[in-house]
Amino acid sequence: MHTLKILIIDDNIQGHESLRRAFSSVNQQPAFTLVDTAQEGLKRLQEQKFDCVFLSGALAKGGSAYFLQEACAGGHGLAPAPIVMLMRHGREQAVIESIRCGAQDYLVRSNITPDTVHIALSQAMEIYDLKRRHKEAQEQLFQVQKLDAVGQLTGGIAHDFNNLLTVILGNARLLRKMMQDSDDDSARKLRLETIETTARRGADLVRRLMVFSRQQSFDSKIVDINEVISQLTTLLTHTIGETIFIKTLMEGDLWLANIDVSQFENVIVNMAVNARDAMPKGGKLLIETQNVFIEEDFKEKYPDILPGPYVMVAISDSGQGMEPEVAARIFEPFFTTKEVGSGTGLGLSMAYGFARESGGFIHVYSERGMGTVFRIYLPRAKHSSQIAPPPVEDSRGEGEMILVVDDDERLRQMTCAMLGRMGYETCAAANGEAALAMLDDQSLRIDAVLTDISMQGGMNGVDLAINLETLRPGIGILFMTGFSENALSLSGLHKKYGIIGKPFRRDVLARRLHEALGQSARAPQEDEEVKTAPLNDNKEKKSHVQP
Amino acid sequence: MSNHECCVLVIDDESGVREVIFESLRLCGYKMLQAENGKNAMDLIEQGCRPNIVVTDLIMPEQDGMETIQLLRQNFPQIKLVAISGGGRRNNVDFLTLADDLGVDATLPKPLDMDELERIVQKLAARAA
Ligand SMILES: Nc1ncnc2c1ncn2[C@@H]1O[C@H](COP(=O)(O)OP(=O)(O)OP(=O)(O)O)[C@@H](O)[C@H]1O
Ligand SMILES: [Mg+2]
Repeated sequence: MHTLKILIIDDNIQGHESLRRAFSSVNQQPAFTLVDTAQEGLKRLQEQKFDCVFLSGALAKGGSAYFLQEACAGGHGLAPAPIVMLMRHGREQAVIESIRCGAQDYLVRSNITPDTVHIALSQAMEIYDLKRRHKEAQEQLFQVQKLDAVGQLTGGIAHDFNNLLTVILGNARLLRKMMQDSDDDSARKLRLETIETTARRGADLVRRLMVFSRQQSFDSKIVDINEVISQLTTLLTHTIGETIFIKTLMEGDLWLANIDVSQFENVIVNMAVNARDAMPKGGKLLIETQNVFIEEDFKEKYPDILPGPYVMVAISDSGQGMEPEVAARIFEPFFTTKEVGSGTGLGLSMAYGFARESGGFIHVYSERGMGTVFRIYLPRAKHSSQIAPPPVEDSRGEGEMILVVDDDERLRQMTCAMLGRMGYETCAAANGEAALAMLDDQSLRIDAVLTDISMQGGMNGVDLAINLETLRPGIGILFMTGFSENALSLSGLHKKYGIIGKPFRRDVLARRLHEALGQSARAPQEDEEVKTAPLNDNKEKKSHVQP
Repeated sequence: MSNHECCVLVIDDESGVREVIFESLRLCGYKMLQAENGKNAMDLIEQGCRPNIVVTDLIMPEQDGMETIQLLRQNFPQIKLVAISGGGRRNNVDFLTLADDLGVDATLPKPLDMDELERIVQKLAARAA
């Protein structure tokens, strides 16, 4: 359904033409971008997401090899999109060389037909996808290995360190006692104090390393996490409450979990302190708990997560958020962006270790300038009351057509699959523009749009909704967000159309979608002021809104 | 028993640790003995030394703390035992927990909180025969 985006890099005009012709027989025309140098190609590749790149094997001045090298440099041998080479001859040596350099398949120029193009395209996309998954799995393994390495190191040195610190602290204390008798020199006492506080910091560091590397015993018991959090909130208010507004939203009948309470408390405190640090001018901290049933669907996106019942704790802040490069590294031991002395970079690695030890996992979602949410999933304690079945669906689709708009391909597929099982029909788009293009075609029956709010490389969900008010007035709209739906200040559009936090529970999705579809007949109400803040404060765009 | 009558034996292979415990408790008035491992400690006792309290590290070359604790518990049940350790686990159980299971009177993790150690020894001295 979605329009293929194809980048052609070729300095041979005829090459462009024959490819376009070969594509002309497919029912939906791809969107072509044509460039004739490697540099230009690299630039486009950075700006947008393409489904496939067709690269001439004979660009002037060694451009083809240069393109492959640069395109694959950032991704450990994998370019941002699959690459099909356009070769003058199918000479084995040249083909092998380009595939070795990061291409996935090739076409011989004299044999460009709808069939060969189709085969090369699907082959390249499939191989690319496999490679990408392989790479991701490797990265995860690497992360785990790094954690284990720190663990082993800690086990080896912690014991010696604690001895050294005992000696330093013990001698400082003896010295202090000796001085008390001749109680004269306060400057010396200050020095002693520095020695003692520094050694204590060292002790604290070792202790944290030990917790993190599981050298310390894991003292788990079955608890009601709501209770633990309620008790903790008082402490948090004292530590970070001065500038931060703390709110809690607890699930009424929360399942029990089997955890080490003091480690869990450390994890929450660290996350709260991190949140405070991300909100130097103050802000909001929301702590939520929820019963969550992880369904099989998640396997697709999070392969190492076992389906089943989990207790979820979400901690959202309205802080500065993180760049993707930072977010990718936060669980690494000793990774910190804080000044020397104010952060050791162990807080989140400990959280990671804790979650792993508890049989759960942590998921982070962050947007620059918007905020961050950490979700900790802890498996429900085995013998806690009776095993409740997955939540019942209280509403089902009747073949309504839902357009799913999300820039994350796997989430998009997952959502479509989920909707399919719920009795809906689906189509999908990767961003607002693509969605609008589909909706513009009035012959296409679309009953509701389920759209992510912020999407990379294109129109976001709010703008899409604003455009839809003129294009297809009255259509059902439901927003999705990686943030907690409770963390967003619901106003205007969000209130009007409803919003659901990802990852969503099937029953909640069913309910919200049902509401959205019910509303689709309703015309926009006059008294509702359409505000898009804080997600979009671009005044110009508001002019599209109808009163 | 008053501090002056009470004899404390410190066992630790790390001389700095041994010395600092020795000196701190000596200043509290106890009669002090020291040994760098369990074997030396047993030698001292064989020679006739009779400590009322033994403070012992757990991981040491030449007869570790676990073994010493077992021997002392069997042969000298009246001696009070304090186990100290800088961490580590055997079969996934913390060493201090293992020592606890062997029936020591108190455990204390390193880095040592010396005030706490003094309090513990004080209490045990009061109970010592
Ligand atoms: N809520 C948040 N918002 C923005 N950035 C965050 C947030 N939480 C963590 N980070 C980033 O992740 C990094 C690692 O966090 P982590 O808690 O592991 O270490 P730290 O806070 O730097 O040091 P430590 O917790 O050991 O004192 C932080 O330095 C910060 O850059
Ligand atoms: Mg931190």
